[in-house]
Amino acid sequence: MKFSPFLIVAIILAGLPALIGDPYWLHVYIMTCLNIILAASLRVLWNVGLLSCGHAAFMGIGAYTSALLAKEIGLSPWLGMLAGGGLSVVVSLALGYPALRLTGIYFVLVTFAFNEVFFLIATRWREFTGGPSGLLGIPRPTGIPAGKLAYAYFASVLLWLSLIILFRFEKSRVGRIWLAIRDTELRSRCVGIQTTHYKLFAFGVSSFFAGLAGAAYAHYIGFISPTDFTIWQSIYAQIYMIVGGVAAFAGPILGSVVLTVLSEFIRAAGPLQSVVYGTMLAVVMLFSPGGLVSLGRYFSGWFKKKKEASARV
Amino acid sequence: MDTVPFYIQVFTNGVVLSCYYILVAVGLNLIMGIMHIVNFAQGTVYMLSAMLLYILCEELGLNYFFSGALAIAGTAGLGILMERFLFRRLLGQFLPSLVMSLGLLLAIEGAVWLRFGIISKAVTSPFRGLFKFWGASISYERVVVIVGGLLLIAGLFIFIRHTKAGKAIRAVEQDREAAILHGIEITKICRLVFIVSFALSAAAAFLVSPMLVIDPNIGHTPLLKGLVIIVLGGMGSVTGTLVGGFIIGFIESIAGSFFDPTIASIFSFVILVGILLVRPSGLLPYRM
Repeated sequence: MKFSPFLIVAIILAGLPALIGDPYWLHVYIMTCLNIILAASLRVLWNVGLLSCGHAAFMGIGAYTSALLAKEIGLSPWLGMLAGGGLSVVVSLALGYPALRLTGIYFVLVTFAFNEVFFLIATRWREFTGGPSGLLGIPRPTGIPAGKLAYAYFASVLLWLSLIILFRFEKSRVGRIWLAIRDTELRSRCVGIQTTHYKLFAFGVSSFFAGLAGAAYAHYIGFISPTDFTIWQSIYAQIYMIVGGVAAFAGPILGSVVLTVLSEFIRAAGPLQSVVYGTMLAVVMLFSPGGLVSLGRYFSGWFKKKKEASARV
Repeated sequence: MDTVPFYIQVFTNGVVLSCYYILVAVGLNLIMGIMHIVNFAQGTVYMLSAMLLYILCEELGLNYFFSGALAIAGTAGLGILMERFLFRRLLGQFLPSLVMSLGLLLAIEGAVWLRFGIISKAVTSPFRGLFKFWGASISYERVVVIVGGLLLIAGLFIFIRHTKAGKAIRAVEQDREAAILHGIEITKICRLVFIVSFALSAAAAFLVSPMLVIDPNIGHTPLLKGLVIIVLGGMGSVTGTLVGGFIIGFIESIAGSFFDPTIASIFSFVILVGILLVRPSGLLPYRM
């Protein structure tokens, strides 16, 4: 049989929730799945050479849209999640159009400021978003029974589908054009690639999955407030991606798993977590820009060299 | 509401806010122009020097001006270290250096939070009291910010435009290769820029701290405003930072007195996106 990493991932995702059993670790499992979707969506942007400091805001747009549609109109959360992702795309295109015509610095600044503004609007617009106290009683998607195990399976499926779509994108013609833009933007433009359009497209795809993850989060926890979608969440998502490694598709997955589980152990002190994460981020950038993934490659290369050396002797 | 004292109040508030934001934004913009690095830790530097001021002034009981001088010197020293051991290693790599500065922001704020807790602190103001000016009451703390801020900005202007070091900084900003060919040492310029920008942020902390609280998160506001100001004024341009700073300061003061501060923040974001749509290179017609 042909080796397929996605088959292995599918088997793991199908088996893991049943093996865990303990509700607390099932919660960690679900959060890990959602974090992986968020980090993997950031990877799309990284591949075009962009960094979004406002992905929590898109997550928030998805969460609030889906939650409000379900609560106010009674729309099925299944459609609501898609609508949440869709609205994220619309907002990202409106924001990306002015910001992406310029160099990457402007994009970082605008997304950073946008996250702050989203937080302010969500906090102030009480009649609509519930203000600082947030939205309560967001229903589960119809058809998913109560309890964490069922939702863990749902998160598995969502994660698997998202990863397959994102992986296909990365390996497609569009994905290669994204890489070309990141590596040599000027040359890409010279061969006739509309770089701004492709960047906008990447931003749209990335925001869709962020919005989707946000909506899935809202329907899981049942309660959202503006503090769930601060700039820190955006930065944490970047940390998952970067510490895991930007060198390979598995990077964000590895990073999210390692750091989410790690943060469960150090959660005892909130600020300690940010010290650990921040230091990790700086250290990875300074000493191993490829992240955890490249560490594995480094060691395998090292072993290979040793083998070659011994063979030569 | 529509009386003279009210407008005087709004005006002084505008100048105070502008000076506060400009002092942080100018440092951010110098680093951005010379090294092409977005230093997200610039607001954190402001917070750190305010904390240093608090330690020296309140915990050790030193004189306010003496501890201010120590805090500024300490922060400038920190700038040298950060440049030498962190930012120089990632020079010219836009995303990695940006990500590293985000890591610094997280780590330093977390560390300060661990040491001092999240409860706001304040330094005892050495400039107590207020005076009446045409019916408007203006506190001495505000006068100090206005006078000190404007003096520092004027000093920076003279430094950038008329001294040899300032001219070298502008040369590197305009054309890196040509500057190297004329014998300007890039590493020295980078160190100088870090010293100036960190010292200005520390000076902002020295001037503003008597009227604001100090906690681990106070760096976010000047950082965010600084980023908006830079987009308004254009990257690497000191004059542009001044213009953008006064625009943002006055918008906040006016919108803050007529509506409320949140609306002012949203308003400045709308202006930011509007500027990007119609004048992406900033407001000024040419670089200065």
